[in-house]
Amino acid sequence: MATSLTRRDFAASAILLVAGSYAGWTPAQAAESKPAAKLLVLYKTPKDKAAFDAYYKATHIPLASKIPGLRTYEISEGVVNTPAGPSDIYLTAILTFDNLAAIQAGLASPEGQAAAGDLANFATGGADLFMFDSKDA
Amino acid sequence: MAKLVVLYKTPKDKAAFDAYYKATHISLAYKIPGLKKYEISDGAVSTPAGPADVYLTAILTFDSLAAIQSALGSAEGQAAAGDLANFASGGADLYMFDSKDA
Repeated sequence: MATSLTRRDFAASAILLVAGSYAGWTPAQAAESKPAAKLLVLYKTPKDKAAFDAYYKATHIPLASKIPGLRTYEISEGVVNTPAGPSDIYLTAILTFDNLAAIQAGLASPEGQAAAGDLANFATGGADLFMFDSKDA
Repeated sequence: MAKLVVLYKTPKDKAAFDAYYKATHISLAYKIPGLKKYEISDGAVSTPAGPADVYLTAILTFDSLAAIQSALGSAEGQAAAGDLANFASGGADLYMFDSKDA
Protein backbone atom coordinates (compact mmCIF):
# COMPACT_ATOMS: atom_id res chain seq x y z
CA MET A 1 0.00 0.00 0.00
CA ALA A 2 2.70 2.41 1.06
CA THR A 3 4.69 1.52 -2.05
CA SER A 4 1.78 2.12 -4.41
CA LEU A 5 0.99 5.46 -2.78
CA THR A 6 4.61 6.48 -3.11
CA ARG A 7 4.64 5.48 -6.74
CA ARG A 8 1.46 7.41 -7.40
CA ASP A 9 2.86 10.44 -5.61
CA PHE A 10 5.99 10.17 -7.68
CA ALA A 11 3.97 9.96 -10.89
CA ALA A 12 1.86 12.95 -9.86
CA SER A 13 4.87 15.08 -9.00
CA ALA A 14 6.56 14.09 -12.28
CA ILE A 15 3.48 15.28 -14.17
CA LEU A 16 3.44 18.53 -12.20
CA LEU A 17 7.13 18.99 -12.87
CA VAL A 18 6.64 18.53 -16.62
CA ALA A 19 3.58 20.77 -16.64
CA GLY A 20 5.49 23.38 -14.65
CA SER A 21 8.45 23.42 -16.99
CA TYR A 22 6.16 23.68 -20.04
CA ALA A 23 4.12 26.44 -18.39
CA GLY A 24 7.34 28.46 -18.24
CA TRP A 25 7.60 28.91 -21.99
CA THR A 26 4.79 27.34 -24.03
CA PRO A 27 2.09 30.03 -23.63
CA ALA A 28 4.55 32.84 -24.33
CA GLN A 29 5.82 31.07 -27.46
CA ALA A 30 2.27 30.43 -28.65
CA ALA A 31 1.14 34.02 -28.08
CA GLU A 32 4.13 35.71 -29.72
CA SER A 33 4.16 35.85 -33.52
CA LYS A 34 7.18 35.60 -35.76
CA PRO A 35 8.09 38.95 -37.34
CA ALA A 36 5.95 39.36 -40.43
CA ALA A 37 4.62 41.77 -43.00
CA LYS A 38 1.19 41.92 -44.58
CA LEU A 39 -0.16 42.74 -48.00
CA LEU A 40 -3.80 43.73 -47.47
CA VAL A 41 -6.06 43.84 -50.53
CA LEU A 42 -9.52 45.38 -50.28
CA TYR A 43 -11.67 44.61 -53.32
CA LYS A 44 -14.56 47.00 -53.82
CA THR A 45 -17.90 45.54 -54.85
CA PRO A 46 -17.52 44.32 -58.48
CA LYS A 47 -20.02 44.83 -61.27
CA ASP A 48 -20.76 41.09 -61.49
CA LYS A 49 -20.28 39.26 -58.20
CA ALA A 50 -20.72 35.75 -59.60
CA ALA A 51 -18.15 36.38 -62.34
CA PHE A 52 -15.74 37.85 -59.76
CA ASP A 53 -16.16 34.85 -57.45
CA ALA A 54 -15.63 32.32 -60.22
CA TYR A 55 -12.55 34.06 -61.64
CA TYR A 56 -10.99 34.74 -58.25
CA LYS A 57 -11.27 31.10 -57.21
CA ALA A 58 -10.29 29.46 -60.50
CA THR A 59 -7.60 31.85 -61.70
CA HIS A 60 -6.45 34.49 -59.24
CA ILE A 61 -5.86 32.31 -56.17
CA PRO A 62 -3.58 29.92 -58.10
CA LEU A 63 -1.64 32.91 -59.55
CA ALA A 64 -1.27 34.70 -56.20
CA SER A 65 -0.30 31.49 -54.42
CA LYS A 66 2.80 31.37 -56.66
CA ILE A 67 4.23 34.68 -55.39
CA PRO A 68 7.68 33.89 -53.95
CA GLY A 69 7.98 34.37 -50.20
CA LEU A 70 4.25 34.07 -49.53
CA ARG A 71 3.70 32.47 -46.10
CA THR A 72 -0.05 32.56 -45.59
CA TYR A 73 -2.95 33.75 -47.76
CA GLU A 74 -6.28 34.40 -46.08
CA ILE A 75 -9.45 35.76 -47.64
CA SER A 76 -12.73 36.93 -46.20
CA GLU A 77 -15.65 34.56 -46.20
CA GLY A 78 -19.09 36.11 -46.59
CA VAL A 79 -20.01 39.72 -46.06
CA VAL A 80 -17.44 42.35 -45.05
CA ASN A 81 -19.12 44.56 -42.44
CA THR A 82 -18.46 47.89 -40.79
CA PRO A 83 -19.84 48.72 -37.34
CA ALA A 84 -22.63 50.60 -39.18
CA GLY A 85 -23.56 47.72 -41.54
CA PRO A 86 -22.35 46.25 -44.85
CA SER A 87 -19.25 47.89 -46.33
CA ASP A 88 -18.36 48.80 -49.91
CA ILE A 89 -15.67 46.09 -49.69
CA TYR A 90 -16.68 42.82 -51.32
CA LEU A 91 -13.61 40.70 -50.52
CA THR A 92 -10.46 41.09 -48.46
CA ALA A 93 -7.19 39.21 -48.88
CA ILE A 94 -4.38 39.22 -46.31
CA LEU A 95 -1.09 37.83 -47.60
CA THR A 96 1.68 37.32 -45.05
CA PHE A 97 5.40 37.48 -45.84
CA ASP A 98 8.54 37.62 -43.69
CA ASN A 99 8.98 41.39 -44.05
CA LEU A 100 8.14 44.39 -46.21
CA ALA A 101 11.22 43.85 -48.39
CA ALA A 102 9.99 40.30 -49.11
CA ILE A 103 6.61 41.69 -50.22
CA GLN A 104 8.29 44.20 -52.51
CA ALA A 105 10.55 41.52 -53.99
CA GLY A 106 7.57 39.15 -54.30
CA LEU A 107 5.53 41.74 -56.20
CA ALA A 108 8.47 42.58 -58.48
CA SER A 109 9.01 38.92 -59.44
CA PRO A 110 7.41 37.51 -62.63
CA GLU A 111 4.87 35.64 -60.47
CA GLY A 112 4.07 38.83 -58.54
CA GLN A 113 3.72 40.81 -61.75
CA ALA A 114 1.40 38.15 -63.17
CA ALA A 115 -0.79 38.20 -60.03
CA ALA A 116 -0.88 42.02 -59.87
CA GLY A 117 -1.54 42.30 -63.59
CA ASP A 118 -4.39 39.83 -63.23
CA LEU A 119 -6.41 42.30 -61.09
CA ALA A 120 -7.50 44.13 -64.23
CA ASN A 121 -9.16 40.92 -65.40
CA PHE A 122 -11.71 40.68 -62.57
CA ALA A 123 -11.47 43.55 -60.03
CA THR A 124 -14.14 45.61 -61.80
CA GLY A 125 -14.96 47.61 -58.66
CA GLY A 126 -11.30 48.47 -58.07
CA ALA A 127 -8.99 47.34 -55.27
CA ASP A 128 -6.87 49.06 -52.63
CA LEU A 129 -3.53 47.48 -51.72
CA PHE A 130 -1.69 48.25 -48.51
CA MET A 131 1.61 46.71 -47.40
CA PHE A 132 3.42 47.06 -44.10
CA ASP A 133 5.64 45.37 -41.57
CA SER A 134 3.59 44.15 -38.63
CA LYS A 135 4.15 43.19 -35.02
CA ASP A 136 2.16 42.19 -31.98
CA ALA A 137 0.54 45.25 -30.39
CA MET B 1 -11.25 32.72 -37.67
CA ALA B 2 -12.47 36.25 -38.15
CA LYS B 3 -10.69 39.59 -38.41
CA LEU B 4 -11.38 43.13 -37.37
CA VAL B 5 -9.24 45.38 -39.57
CA VAL B 6 -8.78 49.00 -38.53
CA LEU B 7 -7.24 51.48 -40.97
CA TYR B 8 -6.27 54.72 -39.27
CA LYS B 9 -5.92 57.65 -41.65
CA THR B 10 -2.99 60.00 -41.13
CA PRO B 11 -3.71 61.93 -37.88
CA LYS B 12 -3.24 65.67 -37.42
CA ASP B 13 -0.46 65.11 -34.86
CA LYS B 14 1.49 61.89 -35.42
CA ALA B 15 3.53 62.07 -32.21
CA ALA B 16 0.40 62.58 -30.10
CA PHE B 17 -1.32 59.72 -31.91
CA ASP B 18 1.63 57.39 -31.33
CA ALA B 19 1.91 58.24 -27.65
CA TYR B 20 -1.82 57.85 -26.97
CA TYR B 21 -2.15 54.66 -28.98
CA LYS B 22 0.71 53.00 -27.16
CA ALA B 23 -0.07 54.20 -23.64
CA THR B 24 -3.85 54.01 -23.67
CA HIS B 25 -5.55 52.44 -26.67
CA ILE B 26 -3.58 49.17 -26.85
CA SER B 27 -4.33 48.36 -23.22
CA LEU B 28 -8.03 49.15 -23.71
CA ALA B 29 -8.25 47.05 -26.88
CA TYR B 30 -6.49 44.09 -25.25
CA LYS B 31 -9.36 43.86 -22.77
CA ILE B 32 -11.92 43.12 -25.51
CA PRO B 33 -13.37 39.67 -24.72
CA GLY B 34 -12.59 36.90 -27.23
CA LEU B 35 -9.54 38.66 -28.72
CA LYS B 36 -7.06 36.01 -29.94
CA LYS B 37 -4.41 38.11 -31.58
CA TYR B 38 -3.73 41.83 -32.03
CA GLU B 39 -1.23 42.94 -34.65
CA ILE B 40 -0.36 46.47 -35.73
CA SER B 41 1.72 47.88 -38.56
CA ASP B 42 5.31 48.80 -37.80
CA GLY B 43 6.55 51.76 -39.82
CA ALA B 44 5.10 53.23 -42.99
CA VAL B 45 2.04 51.76 -44.70
CA SER B 46 2.69 51.69 -48.46
CA THR B 47 0.70 51.13 -51.62
CA PRO B 48 2.28 49.84 -54.86
CA ALA B 49 2.35 53.51 -55.98
CA GLY B 50 4.01 54.89 -52.81
CA PRO B 51 3.02 56.01 -49.30
CA ALA B 52 -0.62 55.38 -48.30
CA ASP B 53 -3.08 57.77 -46.64
CA VAL B 54 -3.29 55.09 -43.95
CA TYR B 55 -1.00 55.82 -40.99
CA LEU B 56 -1.53 52.68 -38.90
CA THR B 57 -3.28 49.37 -39.38
CA ALA B 58 -4.54 47.04 -36.67
CA ILE B 59 -5.66 43.47 -37.33
CA LEU B 60 -7.52 41.85 -34.44
CA THR B 61 -8.27 38.14 -34.70
CA PHE B 62 -11.28 36.44 -33.08
CA ASP B 63 -12.92 33.02 -33.44
CA SER B 64 -15.80 34.21 -35.61
CA LEU B 65 -17.65 37.28 -36.87
CA ALA B 66 -20.28 36.65 -34.20
CA ALA B 67 -17.51 36.80 -31.56
CA ILE B 68 -16.36 40.18 -32.94
CA GLN B 69 -19.88 41.55 -32.91
CA SER B 70 -20.58 40.43 -29.36
CA ALA B 71 -17.14 41.66 -28.26
CA LEU B 72 -17.79 45.11 -29.69
CA GLY B 73 -21.12 45.12 -27.87
CA SER B 74 -19.45 44.37 -24.52
CA ALA B 75 -18.48 47.07 -22.03
CA GLU B 76 -14.78 46.58 -22.91
CA GLY B 77 -15.53 46.73 -26.65
CA GLN B 78 -17.56 49.90 -26.19
CA ALA B 79 -14.73 51.46 -24.20
CA ALA B 80 -12.16 50.63 -26.90
CA ALA B 81 -14.43 51.80 -29.75
CA GLY B 82 -15.37 54.95 -27.84
CA ASP B 83 -11.69 55.68 -27.29
CA LEU B 84 -11.12 56.20 -31.05
CA ALA B 85 -12.57 59.70 -30.77
CA ASN B 86 -9.76 60.56 -28.33
CA PHE B 87 -6.89 60.06 -30.78
CA ALA B 88 -7.98 59.01 -34.31
CA SER B 89 -7.99 62.60 -35.54
CA GLY B 90 -7.63 61.53 -39.20
CA GLY B 91 -10.54 59.10 -38.95
CA ALA B 92 -10.51 55.31 -39.09
CA ASP B 93 -12.19 52.65 -41.22
CA LEU B 94 -13.24 49.42 -39.51
CA TYR B 95 -13.95 46.20 -41.40
CA MET B 96 -14.95 42.87 -39.90
CA PHE B 97 -15.35 39.52 -41.59
CA ASP B 98 -14.99 35.79 -41.24
CA SER B 99 -11.77 34.59 -42.85
CA LYS B 100 -10.33 31.37 -44.20
CA ASP B 101 -7.25 30.16 -46.04
CA ALA B 102 -7.50 30.98 -49.76
